[in-house]
Amino acid sequence: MSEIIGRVLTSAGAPINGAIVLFVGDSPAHDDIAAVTNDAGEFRFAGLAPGHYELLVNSEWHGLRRVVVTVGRDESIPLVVQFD
Amino acid sequence: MLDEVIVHENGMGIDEVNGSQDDNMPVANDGSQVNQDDAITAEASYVGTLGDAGETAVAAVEVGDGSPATGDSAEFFAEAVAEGQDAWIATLEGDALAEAMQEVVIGPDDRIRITGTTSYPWRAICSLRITAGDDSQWIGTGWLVGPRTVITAGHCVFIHNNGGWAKRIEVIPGRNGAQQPYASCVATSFRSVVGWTQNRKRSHDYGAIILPSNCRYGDQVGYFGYANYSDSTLEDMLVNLSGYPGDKPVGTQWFHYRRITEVDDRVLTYDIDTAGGQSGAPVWRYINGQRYAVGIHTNGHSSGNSATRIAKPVFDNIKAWKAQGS
Repeated sequence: MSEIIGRVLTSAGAPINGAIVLFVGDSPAHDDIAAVTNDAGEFRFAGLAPGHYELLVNSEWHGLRRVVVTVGRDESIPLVVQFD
Repeated sequence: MLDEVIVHENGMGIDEVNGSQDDNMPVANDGSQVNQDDAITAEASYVGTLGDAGETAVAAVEVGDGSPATGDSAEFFAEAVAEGQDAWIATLEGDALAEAMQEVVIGPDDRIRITGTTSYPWRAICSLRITAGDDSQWIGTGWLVGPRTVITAGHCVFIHNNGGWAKRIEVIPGRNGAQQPYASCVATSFRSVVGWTQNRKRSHDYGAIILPSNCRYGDQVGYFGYANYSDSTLEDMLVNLSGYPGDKPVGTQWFHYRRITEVDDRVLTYDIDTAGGQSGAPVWRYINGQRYAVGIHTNGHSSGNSATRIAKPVFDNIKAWKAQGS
């Protein structure tokens, strides 16, 4: 199984705490739980089957961002989501 | 066969039932036991109370009692509603109604924001702030089934890739954005089943939160009933779902309803729109002024979202967990 390890940042590169991250769209079947970024803007989804995942990042102060990530088999994918 | 039940109390590790023990025996980490036979007998006294003339499989129906608690439910039934569809529209007024109707017509996402979250049943639905075993943070949904018992997804109380049992969960009934009309309680006592915590079976993805003894939200806001229906009754049933999705303004409650499209032994599938954060939400039938949860929402997928079905073993465990939070 694979994992996505991400960071959510402002346009200035500062970490965003409290952003909500979830799978949407045509993502493979997933638990309908959403991650919340920590003080370092980090989140992690593990136990992922291979496929194309569409992530939505929802920040109360910075808006919404969508990112598509292709996940292979048994890999750890770093991801940075930066708001404009 | 009943599910093998395991119980967790924060800070005390995992107490799991050895598979060689009686698989049907629920256990608690404090050594107490729930007499399942008695519970089933007591529950059987509710059989047939639905009084639904169209319910041909009534003998196969077992229901728990859903109570609005404060006796003010009548106002919500002023509107005639389709069979099964909740009387949601009667809870909306003015701008809120206009907002809801706009949501209905603007595209494929026709979820409806619930702004009257201090009305039943919306106030019995809880926003969850979850701190996992590895200190990561998550959001989910739960629903009151008794004075101190909140039912939710198994993966809200036990997150396999993030330290197992949650450290704590903040439960916020009737949350409406920044408003928390009933404040919140932090719980550290959780329940699930071995099928989820050990074997990670999607079919066993359900659990419960037992609120602290000084936090009897169910007495204040009411709680849902729950039912174990036959396949034929569930097929094409119109069901309702409301919870706290992460793709909407933070902490807002959203509602949708559709018919069940597929009935499996342990899973119900439907086209109700959901998003991450709604795990644990109630999937309920509205009939004769009562709400009976038939599923616990757990999974999202473009081919159909799905719930853990309140099959007989799930029903029995909910009954036991409700008793533990009485």
